[in-house]
This record gives sequence, structure tokens and C-alpha cells, in this order.
Amino acid sequence: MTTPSQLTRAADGPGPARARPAGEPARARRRHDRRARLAGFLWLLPALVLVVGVVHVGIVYNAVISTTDWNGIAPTRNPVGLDNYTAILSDDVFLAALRNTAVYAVAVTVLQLGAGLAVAVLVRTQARGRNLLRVLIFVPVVLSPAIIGTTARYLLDQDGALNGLLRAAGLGDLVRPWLADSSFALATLVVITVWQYTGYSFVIYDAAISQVDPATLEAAQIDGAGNLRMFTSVVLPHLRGAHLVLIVLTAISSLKTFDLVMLTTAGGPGTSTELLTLHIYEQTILRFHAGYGAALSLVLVAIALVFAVLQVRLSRLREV
Amino acid sequence: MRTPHAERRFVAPAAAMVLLCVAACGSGSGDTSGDASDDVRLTMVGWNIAAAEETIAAFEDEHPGVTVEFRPYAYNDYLQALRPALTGNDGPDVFQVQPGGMLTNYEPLAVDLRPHLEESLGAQWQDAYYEAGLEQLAYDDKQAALPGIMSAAGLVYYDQAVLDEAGVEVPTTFDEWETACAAVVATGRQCLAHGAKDAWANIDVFLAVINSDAPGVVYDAIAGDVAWDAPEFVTAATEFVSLFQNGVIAEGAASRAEYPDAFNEFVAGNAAFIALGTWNTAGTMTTEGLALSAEGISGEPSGPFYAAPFPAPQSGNDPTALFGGPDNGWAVSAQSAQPDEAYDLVEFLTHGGGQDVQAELANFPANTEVAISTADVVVPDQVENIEAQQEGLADLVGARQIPYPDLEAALGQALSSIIADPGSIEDALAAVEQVSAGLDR
Repeated sequence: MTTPSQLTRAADGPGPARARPAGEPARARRRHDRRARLAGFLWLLPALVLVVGVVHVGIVYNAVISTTDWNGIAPTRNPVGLDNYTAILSDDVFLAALRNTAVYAVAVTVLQLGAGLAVAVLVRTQARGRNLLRVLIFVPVVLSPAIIGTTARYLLDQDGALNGLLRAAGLGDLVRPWLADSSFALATLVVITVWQYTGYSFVIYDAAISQVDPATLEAAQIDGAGNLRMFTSVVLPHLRGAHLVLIVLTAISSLKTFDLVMLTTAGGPGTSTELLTLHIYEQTILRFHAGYGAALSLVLVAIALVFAVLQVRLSRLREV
Repeated sequence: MRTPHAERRFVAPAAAMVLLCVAACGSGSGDTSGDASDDVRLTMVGWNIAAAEETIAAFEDEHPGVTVEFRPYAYNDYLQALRPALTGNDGPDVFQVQPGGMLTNYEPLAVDLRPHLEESLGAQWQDAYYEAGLEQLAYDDKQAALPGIMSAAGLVYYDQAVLDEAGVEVPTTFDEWETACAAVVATGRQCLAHGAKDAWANIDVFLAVINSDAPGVVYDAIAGDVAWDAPEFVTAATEFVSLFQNGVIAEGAASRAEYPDAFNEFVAGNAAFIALGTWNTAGTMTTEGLALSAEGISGEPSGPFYAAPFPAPQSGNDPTALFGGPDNGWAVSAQSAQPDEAYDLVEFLTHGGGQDVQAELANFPANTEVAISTADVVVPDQVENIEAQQEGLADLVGARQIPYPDLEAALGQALSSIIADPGSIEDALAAVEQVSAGLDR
């Protein structure tokens, strides 16, 4: 049976418990508990101040600004109620950006996870050069998007290296200005992103696969399971947690994509690569509509929140 | 009784909180300069001033006891940094602005310079500057900023070596241009290097087109007196997009930036033309400027380079006159604790010794009494070309910047859409007109 003194010691955390004289008054114990709670709170406070001060207060401030016509500079701002939100519904560029962002996020998530998983499985085989592949696949992750964006502009230009290769391979019909063709520009951005961040998915999957008990695999093999069956029936079920984390993080990361698009297409041609972040930047910084930009930002936060909640819910389901 | 252990439990997190507060608040502890002497320290921010150190040194020599700290930014960073800087307590005394939407929005944070100008330069102070330089940096009756240098678009720069190799002359009409471009492309080069990814580059070309077709009508549209989907605009947009279809602008321009992509192609001799303005003169026609431009390419720069009027879209029409005004201006922050010294700095930059520094670098001075230097031209016959540009600055057809950011963005968006889908001209212009009609002018 657990005694009150044991509970108190448990609250004190690990380490040798201090002996208390028998018959210590209840008031002293309560004071001790209060001190313990206060100390815990004080330890928590710095992180709390930073998170609440920077993130949550920022979101609340943004929400307040979103109900005004503030230009981002003037000392005064007039309340406009929900006008900024109703204006969003008739903003054609926003609707195009929302559609592009959704397509981009889904495509990047699916392809990046698929490619990362494929490479993670490949390096577990006896394929030659697998260790080199481990390194090469991760190198783009550490490169700055500024470098990737600028390089991509040159490589994918009409006279760029990719088209040069296509011509040399006799595939001249495929040659096109990849980032300047409104039918291909968004897909090209997806490919660039997947190329850059597949190494990230690979690392997560590689770590998850390494946690699969070799004895389980051996048992499956003894039972006559082939490679495909072992992958689908043994390995994949162990990767549910990795899938979940990667889907949420990749989707949220896709929602936040800005620099690559800014440096390669600036949202064009037309609105074919306009993403939500770019639209927020244009409205807030270039067009001096801080109130409207704040409303757009909150829409983006709401979308990201859906993914965050999804992650929490699915994590709990998994625990059950 | 509180034990030492218990005290440590409180002290450690409390110390962390104190450190956090110190770290958070320490950077805003204020400027302590000036407390040991009577020296004045000015802060100046901007994105575009050549030879800043030399200029500031000349100012400090002329104004003993005043020191200037210049904080340069990249343009996009500047747009974001200026807002909090000017509305905070530790902002700059002097800041750079661009005519158009930037001036419209930042004007309330600048002091009116007229009283200073009248006191310093006399009642005829306007005569000291190009008219457009002052007009485009004024808001109602307030002179919110003064021009740093002048610039105007409506030109094409061309590479004489490339034209010679292709055996063509400088075109004056679109028809001639298309023919010339066929010859240039046959040499394996681009004809007009153009960064259509940048809205401003497309707008410059569009303004050059419509200012030849119907001089001044675009300014009536900006003022709201003419619709943006009027026939003149449909014609101009059709002519604009024809450049992307008839071989004048190479395929794939929509993902190229004007700087550095198109400019580097031009300087390297991989393109015959580039549609820029007078701000391009220093970087292509002076030895020092060209050496700097060549840092972006491998190998030696091509050339010699010259400027000519942007060809007229319709045969029989004159090419556009120059359009532009102040490339940028300098303003005194309304929050400056030293407005008199800050004004002295602005006057130095825009009328005094700062203008001599800019003229020496072949940037076009805003002070009408200062002539641009042609001492460093690459080849002697560029002198006449440069002097013609300076004369053109006194006779501009209109401004280069649109003072309404929404309208400018809508036009940029429309031109990008038209490039992607030439069949959308009427819809795209109707969208511009919709924005224009909704403006609170």
C-alpha cells in the first residue's frame, strides 16, 4: 500500500528521499508540496515564456490585427470586423494559392515518403554502394534553399543542363523551360523539394527499420515468407509511427514553403506556383495589407493545426 | 526551516528567469553614444547607394562632430526591417525610400523637408533638382524625401559586338527588331535577355510599349481616368506578349530573374539586348562599373555597350520617351532626435558632395547643376550616348513607379498571366481594371 510519505518522495523526483520525523504536521507537508510545485513551475517558466510569448501571443496578436485595416506601418488601425475573412473568399489569387498549396503538399508528402522508404529498404539489402547512397541521399538536406533555388533556375532553364541531357539522349521532344512552363512549373517544384528532402525521410525510416527485431524477421523467414511478404507483413507494421511523424512534419513543412518558390518562379507563370506563404508575403510586405495578411496567416495556422491535431489523435490511437 | 537544498531549487530557476529577462531586454538598452561628449551620431539605412563609405567620409569631413552609421540591406530585407525600425524607439535618423507605393506608405513617418530646404537653399530650392525628382517624392504639399540619383527606363542596351557579328543594325521598330533577332539567334545567342520572373521587369517593358503607342495614357489609367481594359491597353498587351512569341525574348524567360540571370547573359555577350534603364549605364559603359558587373560572369565582359530607345511597336510611331524619376530618395525620420543634423545629411546626399560622388561613378545626379562624369567610359563614343540620357531626364513622359501597390501588383500579375497564356489578355486587363476601380485614390 502506498503511503502519503511515499507519494511525497515520488513527487520529489529521483534520488535519495529525505527522512521526515514521524508525526510531522500536515501543514508543513502542504508547505513542502507547494514549494515543490513552485520549483517545478519555475523550471518550466523560461520555456513557457518563450513559447507563449513568441508563438501564442503572436498568434493572438495576429488575430487582433486580422480584424483591422492596418497597413503595417501607420500608428492607427481601424476595426473592420470579419471583412478581411470574407474578402479571402473572393480572392482569386488566394483560391489559386490554396489549390496549389494542397497539390504541392500532398504530392511532396507522398513522393518524399515513398522515395525515403525505398532508399531505406535498399540500404538494408546487400546492394553495392549502399553506404555511399546513405551519404549522397542526405547531402541535399543540409544545402540551403537559396543555393538549391538558384541552381535549379540554371539547371532547368531552356538552355540548362537537364535539357542538354535530354537533347543528347535524343529526347528533344521533352525539352521545355521546366520552371517557366505553367503546366509543369508546380510539378517541377515538387520534384526539387522531394530531391532535397528525401534524405530526411530516409533517416527516419532507416532508424525505424533498425528497430525491427531481427529474430522476428528470422522467424518469418523460417515460416517461408519471401522478401515482399516480410516487408509488407513484418517491416511495414513497425513503421506506422515513422509514417505518422513524417506525414505530419512533411505536410506542415510543405505548407510553410516559401524560399524555394520565391527564388525560382516568384509564384508564376501567372499564378501557377503561387503558394499561401507567398501570397501572405505579397499582401503584407509588398502591398501593405498587414490586416489582410494576418487573416491569411490565420487561415494557414488553422490548416497547420488540423495536421497537428491529427498527429496527436493518431498517436493516441496507436498507443491504444 | 528552508534548507540549502530547497533554496538551490528556487535559486536555479529564478536565476534562469533573470538571465532570460536580461537576454531579452538587454538588446534594447538604448544608445549610450553621445553621453561622453557632444558628438552627434546619426544612423542611416538603405538598400541602394554606391560608394557609401566614401560618401559618408566626405560628409563627416564637412560636418565635424557628426558621425554616421550606415546599415545597408538587401532590398527585400529592407522592406521588412524598415517597418519595425521606424516605429520603434531606436530607429534610423535617415532612411531611403523608393517613389511609388513605398513613399505613399512611409511618408507619414518622414518629416516635411520644405522648411529645411527653404532655409538652406532659399526660396528657389526647387530649381536645384529635377522636377520629376521632387514631384515623385512629395505627398500632397509635403516634401517627404529628396532624390538620391535619377533613373529612367524606356531604353534597350545593346552589345555592339554581338550586333556586328550578326550583321544587324539597332532596330527602331518591332518589325526591325524581329528581323534583327532572327539573325542574332542564328549566331547561337539570345536576342533580348529578359527576366520575366520579376514583375518590375515586365512592367518596364509594358510601359515602354504603351508609352510609344499612346504616350501618357497609362498615367491617365493610373489616375483612374481611363480603364485598363480600354483598346489601347489590349493593343499594348498584345504587342508586349508578341515579344515572347516572335523570338525577341527567348523561351523560358518566365523563370529567369532580371538580376542576375538576364543581366549576366547580356554582359557575357550571350544576348544582344536588355531592356533596362539609365541605372544600367554605370555598370556597362564605365571601366570600373563594367569590371564590377563582370564579377558575375566567367570570362571577360563583351561589348562595347550602348543604349538606344526601346523600339516602337508600331511602325510610324516614335519610340517611347524616357519614363522615370528619382531612382530612390532620402528621408528624415519623424522620430529622429537630431532632425537638423539628419537634414544636413540628406541635403549632402541629394544636393551636396554626395552628388559629386554619384556623378563620378556615372550615376545620374539629382542635382541639375551636377553633370555626370564621362571620364571613365569604356570607349569614347559612349560619351555622347550618356549625355543624351542625361538630357532625356529633363523631359520624361511620366513616372516609372505606380504609386498604388495594389495596382502595381495587379498589373504585374496580369502581365505574368498574359505571358503564360496569351489568350487571357482581356481577362487579365479586366482584373487590373477591377483593382483600379476599387482604389481609394
